[in-house]
Amino acid sequence: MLSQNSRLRAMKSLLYSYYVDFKSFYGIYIGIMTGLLLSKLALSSSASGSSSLGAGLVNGMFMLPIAMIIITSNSELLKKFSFPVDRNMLVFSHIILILVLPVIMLLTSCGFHLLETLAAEIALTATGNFFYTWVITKDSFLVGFALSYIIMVCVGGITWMVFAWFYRHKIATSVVCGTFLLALIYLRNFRDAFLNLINLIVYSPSPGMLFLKFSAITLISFAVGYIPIKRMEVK
Amino acid sequence: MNAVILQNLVKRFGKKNVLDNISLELPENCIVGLIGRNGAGKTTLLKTLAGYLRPTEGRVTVLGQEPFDNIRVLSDIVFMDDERYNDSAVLWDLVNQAALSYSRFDKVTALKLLDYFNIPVKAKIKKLSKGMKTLFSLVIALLSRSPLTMLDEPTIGLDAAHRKEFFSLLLRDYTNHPRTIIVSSHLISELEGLMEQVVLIDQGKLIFNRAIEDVQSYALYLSGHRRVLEELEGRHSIIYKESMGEMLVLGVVNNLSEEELQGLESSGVKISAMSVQDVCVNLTATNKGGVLDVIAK
Repeated sequence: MLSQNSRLRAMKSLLYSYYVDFKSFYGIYIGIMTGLLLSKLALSSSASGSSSLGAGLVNGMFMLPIAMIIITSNSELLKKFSFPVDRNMLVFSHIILILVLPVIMLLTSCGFHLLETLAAEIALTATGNFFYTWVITKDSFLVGFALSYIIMVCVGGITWMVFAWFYRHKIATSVVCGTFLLALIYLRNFRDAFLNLINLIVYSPSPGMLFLKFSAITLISFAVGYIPIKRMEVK
Repeated sequence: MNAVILQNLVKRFGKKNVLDNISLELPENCIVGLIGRNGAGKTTLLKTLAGYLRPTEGRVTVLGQEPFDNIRVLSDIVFMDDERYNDSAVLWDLVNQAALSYSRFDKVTALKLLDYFNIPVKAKIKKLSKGMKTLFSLVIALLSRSPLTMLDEPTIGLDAAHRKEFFSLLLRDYTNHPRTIIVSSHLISELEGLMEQVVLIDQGKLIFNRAIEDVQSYALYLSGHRRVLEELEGRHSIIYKESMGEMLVLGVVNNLSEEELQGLESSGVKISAMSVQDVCVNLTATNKGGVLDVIAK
């Protein structure tokens, strides 16, 4: 019971600290999205697709990996150990971040899409010199949301795994990644095999299958990234 | 019950033994001074107790359990050093986090103390001076009231007035809420009034773990004619020696009998107690001579 209380208290404290850390991260995301929306409204006289939804995905695909690179660094982990925490909790909180941040980012981009639509409607009524042609159905929205989400989670998970290893075993990880990249560049057979593997993953008969494949890759990334963090010492 | 038990603790980084076969026991509800020169292994020892580092060999028991990756023990430990918090963190958020983390944390008193020290809780850590950062960390560490409180060089950056206030605060809080407090510091003379137990380590090895009263009477300075004092050298353990012509100053481990002391006094030898600071310095002195010998060559 005492142990459960300690664990719960520590988990609350850790999540609180990540909530505080990621307020500014979210502020940056909002800033970029606002900038994109305003520039679109100011510069374009037509809109053939939602810039908010596309920008939300691309923006998230860059920002989430950057966040993962930062939170797995030794200096950041050291700061988290300022208060009681164990390594399982640390990994658990990182997984929560990887799962929750994309939802927040995508919901935000959906909010921006509504604003964008409203702005386009206003522009349409105010001037005849404007048109827009994006059509989103309920089904296409849900499929797009789910796939965007799992792609962001997968990219975030893989980045988290690579950097969880990199910061703990810099030389070994650099050698493995360097060899992989060189083989990709110079060994044609290896490159072809790798591209075939990517094709196999990406081309799926249904969005559901694609979702499952990305989920599996994400789970493997979590399991592999857990190993160095579980064993690490805080220096 | 002992708060800390170390059994043959070895911590190795690469091929270097930073902690070398340390065995000791620290009782509950006691202020312990952890003394040693730079690089002696004090911080490594504290980090091992705080569960940051895993022992290479031996066993560490803190509050009855091994601390590495053990949240039940870690939630009863606070470890304060000078690189605690994220520079971009706001003090108010850290106070809230401390309140969430430590069941005994006294938030009201913490905020009162921060106000007294003129530390703005809405500020970010990076906006604070070195001394203010230290004071903030100390307030959080002390008010957490953790059963094992570890302070690594807690007075770095503090001016004399703040050091004095900190020591008063530490003593008052300890009296009201007894617990095991380990203080690692170079300012041995300032700690002398607080410490109940002294742990001295040098080059990763435990030199001694004694009650403060034992350390205060551990050694004597004998100052007198070389002819009188030189005959003591074979019979007693000498930890300090300085020649000035025919005069000699010896630091001798205090196992001299009453008759010997009376005999020395009657031979004109001046006898004085060696301070705790001098005991620690002399016991951890290198065999390279002093720094003045280096520049004299």
